[in-house]
Amino acid sequence: MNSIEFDKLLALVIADEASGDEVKQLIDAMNNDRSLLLEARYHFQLHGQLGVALESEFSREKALSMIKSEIEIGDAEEFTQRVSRKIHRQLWIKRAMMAAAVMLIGISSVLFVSQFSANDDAPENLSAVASVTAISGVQWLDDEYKEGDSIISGQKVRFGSGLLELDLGGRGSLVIEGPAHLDFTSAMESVLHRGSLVMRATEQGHGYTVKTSQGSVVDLGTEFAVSVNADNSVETHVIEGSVEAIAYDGTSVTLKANDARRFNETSGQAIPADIGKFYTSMPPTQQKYKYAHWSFDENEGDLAQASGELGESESVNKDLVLYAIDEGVKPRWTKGMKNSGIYFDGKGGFAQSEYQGIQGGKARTVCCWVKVPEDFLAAQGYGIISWGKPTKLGETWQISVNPDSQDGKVGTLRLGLLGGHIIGSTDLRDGDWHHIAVVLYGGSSPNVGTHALLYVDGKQEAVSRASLQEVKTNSSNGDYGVWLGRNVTYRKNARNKSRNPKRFFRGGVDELYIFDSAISETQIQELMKR
Amino acid sequence: MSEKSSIADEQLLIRRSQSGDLDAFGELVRIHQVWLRGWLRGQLTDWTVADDLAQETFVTALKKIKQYRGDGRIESWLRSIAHNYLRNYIRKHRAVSVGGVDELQHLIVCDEGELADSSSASLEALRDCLANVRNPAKRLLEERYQHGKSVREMAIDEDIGYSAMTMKLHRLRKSLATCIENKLTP
Repeated sequence: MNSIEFDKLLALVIADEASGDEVKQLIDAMNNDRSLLLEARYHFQLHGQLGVALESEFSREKALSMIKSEIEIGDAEEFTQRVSRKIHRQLWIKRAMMAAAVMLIGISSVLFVSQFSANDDAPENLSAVASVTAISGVQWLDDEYKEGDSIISGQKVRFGSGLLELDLGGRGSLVIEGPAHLDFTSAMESVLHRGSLVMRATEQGHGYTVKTSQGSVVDLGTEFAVSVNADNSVETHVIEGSVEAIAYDGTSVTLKANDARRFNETSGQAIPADIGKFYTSMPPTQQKYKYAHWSFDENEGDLAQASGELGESESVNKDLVLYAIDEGVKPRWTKGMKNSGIYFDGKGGFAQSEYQGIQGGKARTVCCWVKVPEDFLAAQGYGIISWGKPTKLGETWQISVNPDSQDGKVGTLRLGLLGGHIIGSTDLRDGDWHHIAVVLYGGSSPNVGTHALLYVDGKQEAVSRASLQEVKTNSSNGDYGVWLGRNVTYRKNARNKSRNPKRFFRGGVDELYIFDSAISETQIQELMKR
Repeated sequence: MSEKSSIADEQLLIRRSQSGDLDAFGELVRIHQVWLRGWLRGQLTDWTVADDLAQETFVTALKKIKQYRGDGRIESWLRSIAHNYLRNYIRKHRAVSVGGVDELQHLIVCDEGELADSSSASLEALRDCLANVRNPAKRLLEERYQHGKSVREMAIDEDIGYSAMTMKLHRLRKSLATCIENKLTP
């Protein structure tokens, strides 16, 4: 291979634009000629260094604060482990001394010493300070709890992702969002090391205190949110009533509804309240919903029929019609997860319904089976299911296989809105069928970063990347409804198609459902078994 | 600050870190995190993973800081911790099939022998070289590496084909490479 060809391939690979064949050619060249291998390594190294040398001050500070935050967590854990080891060592010594005393003093003393020992080992306060009322997608990092379990003073909850709801024994309730670490020090006090919580206090719970590294928040009869951010700053947002926020230098301020304040090591400052950042309630477990369903069991023809009440109207035909544009062919019928499914070629085959999809910020769930080929290319990820207008931020709703390494891990489930996205962590590129579900909780201003959950094969995904954008799906005046297999941003009459190659999805789809409600993890799992 | 005094300052930070001063260790993180992330990004096609491994590296470094005897440069010590994480990551995620992105990933990870190179020095040299880059090249580099635009997006903005844009960026990297080599040549 000459140097011009090598440069061309290397440039494409570094730009993440190379095809599978081109990657293979480069690998072969590197394997055959060590000088080319070293040159490629040098260019990758330079590419990586440019990534940090030119990053913005904000990105650099963010990276630094994330490292520091991890270090502090690691240091705290190390400290806890040291203390725990010390306590165990002391207990062991104490027990050994007691055993010696037993031998010396005799049987009568044994009874006395045993009783003393039992009392000595017992926690100071065995009464429950909280109980688990609901769990959604929690990945435990420490002791695991199940619904109904009690938490006693001195215990902690620590989990990587998901939502946990606790009842504080008549004093109120907490909704905690992971990654989180919360210590329960007493019936009226807890320490938030990491994560976000929303507390709704009852009259009995007035005065409940949430301590953090930057100060305390004392309830004065209210609903409030506290978050310990990655940079170790602490935010308090008041939803209803009021709280007293006390910094560690002793200064305090009373915050009322729609007030918010951020504290760091040196100062506290008022910030705009943003309740949309927090989960104020758990995903609904039981509620009535409507759905639209496409089974793709026809196995022939140009139409996939819809069933279900959602979107029923005399003027709207929900059936999906199969089309082909550009260099593509119509989606072909294939062996599905259940009976038949359809397969998109990634070149121009797509399906379109007149149904406009769920609009605005309304709750919804979209789920189906997908099959992503192993040799999937980055250009073939966008637009498994999409609707909305790609003209204003937040107005589209598009479920994809993430094709952009700059946004997060390639090959994982992605929900994009134009202006914001949430990206999962399971690589779907294995040629097998996987069940995917995207759930949005409704609300006054639901946000893709905080109100959307992703599921793969019935399990909630750990989110690898998310950015904030309010969901404002809008299909009004559109000349199309729900699309399958086509990037919502791609227009047939685009001026230069070759410059937007991420136009069509390549892979299989089966058993598509759209619900007008946020369904639960259990319901998603039941749906998989249908 | 002279090189000698900055080394002395760093030795002081290391000693304070070894006696449990978390602020001093935080300062070491501030000094070394940029080149370490840059080095890891140069080894991994997925930059989010690179940044995660940098975090892991510093957490481990804090746990082991008492074992650091100061007989080698802390940069090499940090890079050897990072290299262990990198090797484990590649081993765990290496695909069985050949010819794909995973094999490429395996190839671009540097060998043990290449760990001795100074990443902080080459990063400093790169910064010096970047200071001399003028528009429109400067703008292209900023769009790609500061604003995170894809090559496709940049090609649309510049109204040229994407393969022409990839080559344009490649030529810019080549000229920067020459500049760095000149600066690092004793």
